Amino acid sequence: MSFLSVRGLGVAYGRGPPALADITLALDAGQRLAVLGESGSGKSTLAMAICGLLPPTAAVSGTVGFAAPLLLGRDVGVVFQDPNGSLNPVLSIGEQIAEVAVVHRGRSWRAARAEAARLLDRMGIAQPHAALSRHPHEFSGGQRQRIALAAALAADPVLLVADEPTSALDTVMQHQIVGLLDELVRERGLTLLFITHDIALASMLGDEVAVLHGGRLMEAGPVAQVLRRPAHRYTAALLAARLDLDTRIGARLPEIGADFAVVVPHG
Amino acid sequence: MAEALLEVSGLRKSFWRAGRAVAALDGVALRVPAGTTLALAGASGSGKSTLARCILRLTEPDAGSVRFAGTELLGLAPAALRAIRPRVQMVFQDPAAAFNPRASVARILADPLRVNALAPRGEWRARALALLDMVRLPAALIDRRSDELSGGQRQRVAIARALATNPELVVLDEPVSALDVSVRNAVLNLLLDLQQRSGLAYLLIAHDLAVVRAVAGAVAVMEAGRIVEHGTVAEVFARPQAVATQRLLAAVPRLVVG
Repeated sequence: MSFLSVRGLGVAYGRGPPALADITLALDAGQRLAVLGESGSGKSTLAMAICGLLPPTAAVSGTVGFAAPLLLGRDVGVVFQDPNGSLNPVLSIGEQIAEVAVVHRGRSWRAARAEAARLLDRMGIAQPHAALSRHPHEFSGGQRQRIALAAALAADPVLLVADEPTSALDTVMQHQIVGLLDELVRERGLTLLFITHDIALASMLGDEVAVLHGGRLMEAGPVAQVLRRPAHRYTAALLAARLDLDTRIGARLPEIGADFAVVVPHG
Repeated sequence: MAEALLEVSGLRKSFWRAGRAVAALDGVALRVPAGTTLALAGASGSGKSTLARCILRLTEPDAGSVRFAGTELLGLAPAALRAIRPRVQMVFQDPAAAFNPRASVARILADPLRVNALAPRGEWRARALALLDMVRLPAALIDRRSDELSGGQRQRVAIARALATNPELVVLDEPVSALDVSVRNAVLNLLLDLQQRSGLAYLLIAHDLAVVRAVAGAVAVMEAGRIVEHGTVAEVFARPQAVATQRLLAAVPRLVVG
């Protein structure tokens, strides 16, 4: 059995179209899966379903299964787009990071604080011992995301779920966090579920990519295969509409129209 | 050199942080000729949003000069400033935060006409419909509330509102960074078309150099309250001199396909 297998997963919140419909995916231990989608694609709902964090009111069909039972917070670490959502503003960051290891791994507070300082140092936070007693608001957005990452990894999880961890940051900070994630996954042999709206970031961090649109899986497979020879028009349209440093200066940009047709208007 | 539409020089602004003055703008100069786009690029905290706010006098700078169409804006009396205001408009990153969510599109687009007394009440609806057409939105949206619109539609309404006063300069503060990829290019093309048609000038604030490359002719890179590099997009992107520019260029995500 795969490390993670999602079979026929459907999620609906109240009436209206389902947030997710008929999603089937598998992920092996140590692999990195990038889930690529725009707003309304269901990508965050998929991450929440895998973490067991769906609200009780969600109507769920299908299954999410792991080869071995995993406990959220201990075996599964999560970072979100907004680090303020995962950090408690009134607790020092040392308490928050250490608590994870105390609760889930039975460490002493003393040992857990020493470990928290080592983690902060690894995340590139200056003067990590002094930083332990500071509060989240004393750090920049990029630093807070590094701190949230330290808390997510403090119980030594096997799976890291990162839901748009860089989309509230500027590109320079994003570049640093993506590099850090890449190193951490290698060092710790983590399995990674990376949720993103950016096809280039998906290609940088994923071994596999799953493309979601409107709650449905458009296609999934190895990054090189999907991005070189996309099977679905939507993936091809996302590739065509990408902006990068090769974009022609002063030219009109390709637009995505009905049925994912790509149109380049005349300027 | 003839005076440009917007000429900023020696602009300074400090904020008090933990008992000491921190320079958010440390002597900034720039120029935006009519009908052109200058991108202001930089990482978070480099001062680009403070600069935009000082140009619009949403924040009062400590020193310097902001000349718009030959008129010094700093120290300008409120009545004279009100006369200039319609000619300089702004579009924000988050269109949801820029509107009263309960207001209809008709109301949002009529507001600048009412506030600046630019058109009698009887013409507001026709003007609003013309503005919707200009930003390629269907007329049927006119009676919708802004919270019923998609992100891309809301940003088009924000652009339409900025155009309501026939401005000569529009300050665009990260206008597409909250938009989905599938609508982003259409909004950028719209900005290019509007400029071509009506000779608008843009001051574009952006941290993503891929967006800057797509729409701007010139770029100024900010770091720690100063402009550390400026030139045409073609020059600066081909031969970046400042470390801040090199760092921004290196940070643009690249497609890696094995």
